[in-house]
Amino acid sequence: MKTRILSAMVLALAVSAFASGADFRVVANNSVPVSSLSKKAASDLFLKKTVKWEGGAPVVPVDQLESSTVRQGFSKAVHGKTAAAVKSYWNQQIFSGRDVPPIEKRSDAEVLAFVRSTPGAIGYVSESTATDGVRVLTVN
Amino acid sequence: MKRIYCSLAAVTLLGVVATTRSVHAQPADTAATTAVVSTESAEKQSEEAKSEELRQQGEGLIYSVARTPERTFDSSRAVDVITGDEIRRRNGMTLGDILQEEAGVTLAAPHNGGAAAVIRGLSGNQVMLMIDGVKVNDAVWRPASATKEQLNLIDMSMIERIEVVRGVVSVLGTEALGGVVNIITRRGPDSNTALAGTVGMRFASGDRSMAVPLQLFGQNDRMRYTVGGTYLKYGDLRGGDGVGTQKYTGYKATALHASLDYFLSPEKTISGGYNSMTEDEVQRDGQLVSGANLVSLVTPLTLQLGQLSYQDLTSRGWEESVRVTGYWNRQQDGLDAVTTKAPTIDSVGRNIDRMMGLNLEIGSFLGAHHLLYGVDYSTERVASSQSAINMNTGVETPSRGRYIDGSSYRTLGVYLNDHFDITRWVTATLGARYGKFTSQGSEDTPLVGPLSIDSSKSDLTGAVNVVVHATSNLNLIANAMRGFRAPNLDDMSVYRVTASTGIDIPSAGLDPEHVNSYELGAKYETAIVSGSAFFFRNSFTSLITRSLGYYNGLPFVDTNKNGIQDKNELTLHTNSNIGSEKITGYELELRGHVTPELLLFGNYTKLTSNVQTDPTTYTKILPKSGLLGARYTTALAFSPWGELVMRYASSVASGQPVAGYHVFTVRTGASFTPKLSMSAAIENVTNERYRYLGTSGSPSIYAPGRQLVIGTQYRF
Repeated sequence: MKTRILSAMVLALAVSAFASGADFRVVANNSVPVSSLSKKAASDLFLKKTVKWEGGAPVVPVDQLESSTVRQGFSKAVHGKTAAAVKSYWNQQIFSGRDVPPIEKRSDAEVLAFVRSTPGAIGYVSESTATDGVRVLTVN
Repeated sequence: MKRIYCSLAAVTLLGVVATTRSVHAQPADTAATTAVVSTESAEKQSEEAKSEELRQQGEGLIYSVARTPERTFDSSRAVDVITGDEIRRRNGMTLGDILQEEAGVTLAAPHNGGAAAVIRGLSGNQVMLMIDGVKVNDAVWRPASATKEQLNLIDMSMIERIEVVRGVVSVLGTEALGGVVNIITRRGPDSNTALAGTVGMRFASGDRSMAVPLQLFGQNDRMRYTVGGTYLKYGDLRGGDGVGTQKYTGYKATALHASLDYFLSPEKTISGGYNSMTEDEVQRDGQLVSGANLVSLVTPLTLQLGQLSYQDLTSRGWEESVRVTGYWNRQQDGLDAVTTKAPTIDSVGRNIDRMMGLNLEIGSFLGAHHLLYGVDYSTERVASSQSAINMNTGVETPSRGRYIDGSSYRTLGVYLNDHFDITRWVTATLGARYGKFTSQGSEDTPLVGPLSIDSSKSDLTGAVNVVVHATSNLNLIANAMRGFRAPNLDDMSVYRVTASTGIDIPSAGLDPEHVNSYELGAKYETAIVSGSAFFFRNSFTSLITRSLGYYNGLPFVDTNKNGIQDKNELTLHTNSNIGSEKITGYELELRGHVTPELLLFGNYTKLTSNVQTDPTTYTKILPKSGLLGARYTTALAFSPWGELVMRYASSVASGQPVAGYHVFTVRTGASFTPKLSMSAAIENVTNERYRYLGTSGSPSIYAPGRQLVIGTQYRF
């Protein structure tokens, strides 16, 4: 019985991890010189630990609102923590005068418009969103 | 050829440095890259924009409620953040000048420039004063006192902003009974500059006071620093409406501060800070004016505080943040007195408290729960002495100081704060803190015999805070808290012989003071209007109060052992937990833009005290107080602004009576160049005669009458 419960929990966790991983797509401005990123590299970009692309162009990350479903999924899958934990990280950074969080956009459309028009920009949108005019990056 | 190799090496090295924080990504399928040319001016503009954003976003955060930064609007507590701009606009000489314009905060001010914050009717050792989250209150911190300044031991020039929390803060522990004032110090310049600085001047005509702060600062990618100092000189203070110049109210002070942050990585920072203030020859005007004393000085009066901390925001699964802070806090107060009755005897007293402390704090996320837990430990030792020096013969006769010499005080606190969303609309915070307090000290007194203050007590504080997010602009709040203040060495080690009232002896058996506190509140915030309203009800029990005492079962010193109080046998007094009181009240705050240029702001506080015993030394109730203001700013190149502010307080009839007052102040200022800013004010325009709340033993001096205040700052 214990084994069945354990298996069910592992399955549920695996399904939820798969689901959260498949909920979004990472998009970047066409000027960005990469087509795929590791999770660690993606996390570093959005936490501003990496501030320049290869070649020296500045990285301009863009987030979605903390309450959005896509951000919850992105945070879990890429940062490995909840959106609330990421917000807390940024509050600490602001409070100690280190850095400010990425700008926030209210919708997929706003993220796409920003990424399309901003060199070096990188963001994420819901998986079902059309991504014309931007580069879709694979996150491994 | 050598030169080429050197150049290549330099280029390689620069490349490594330049790509230290560059993305290590997998190669692109296509080479659709756009070269972005960064010019120096563009980078500088970007840095300035970032620092402006940092400043703006930082101003919206508060640390002092949950020991972790959160938005003031989201906080469940009655809080205010006084921004750097606001501090400069108010142009105060002391911290008290700044705080008195906040909702729910008034002052008890025994000396010129000396004051204790009064929050919700409590002051002194019942209000926690902190610098960068480290407590300033030590084991001999007193009630609002005539001989130990509190707010003016903080140098204004080191302050970046001030956080004020009204009411019990459970995770901060013992002294946070009435509220918390947390000073956040400057941590370097606004942008990357190797070396820059400011020099300023502040002059007030009411006491011909002058402050000259000088500050140097710098920053690069790895570190930032600030070093500064201030010289302050006060003359005798002129009160309003016929009070005239109040003799013996001038004094001098010097302050130093320094800070250094070293960035090991984007997530790891080592920080160090130091600040000190020394006041010389603060005169006790009461004794001098009455003629009781020829000399009566509180000198020197010193606060030194150093801290070293390590913060790591690296996520390790079981934790999201770790912070370790060590601190050192040394405070000294002295007394130098020559009475008229004994003009050849100079009585000199010294009290020195040395505190060392350590805090370890960890933040974790467990599902929707943001947990913050930690341990606080501090240890203190007090040196206290008194001498009577015969000025003719030079013979020195030592006697007991204010405290038991060599006494010690240790505290241990363990706390946990859990912040979580119950639903999308409701957020709750649960906080608890266990505290243990140990005091040690003994003495052999000539009248009573051996006395000891050896004691160990513990207690629990807790809070339940609920925020209902009614709309994105409106939060409704309900809070229930239980707090305590542990007795400190000042409460426990009193020994005083007075012919008129008898003898006060130490009291080792004191228990903590308690409060049960309930709050209902609302916060509203839009880009144009913001405000808050809080109703609270605080029930205090076990308040530490001077009362008749007993020794060997008798309420007097039975020197002839006959069991009866004879004529010359002194009545005994001691501190006991017999006080109780209920304080209820409400605080309203509102600010709104009528036009983009015109801001109206105000606050109003009403307090009602129901004293069930007689702890008059503890409560400082101004029944009604508030402020109304209007500020006009323009978008002109030199950013001129002007404001009119009216402070109001009703009268107090009991204790040390204080008349009500309305004080009008007009302020204006401008930045004439990017480097030079100036401000000017006419304070107390109507020359109102008024004074703040007194201390337990003496009335306050009169506050300044009409005066011109000029401030200027030059950045180089």
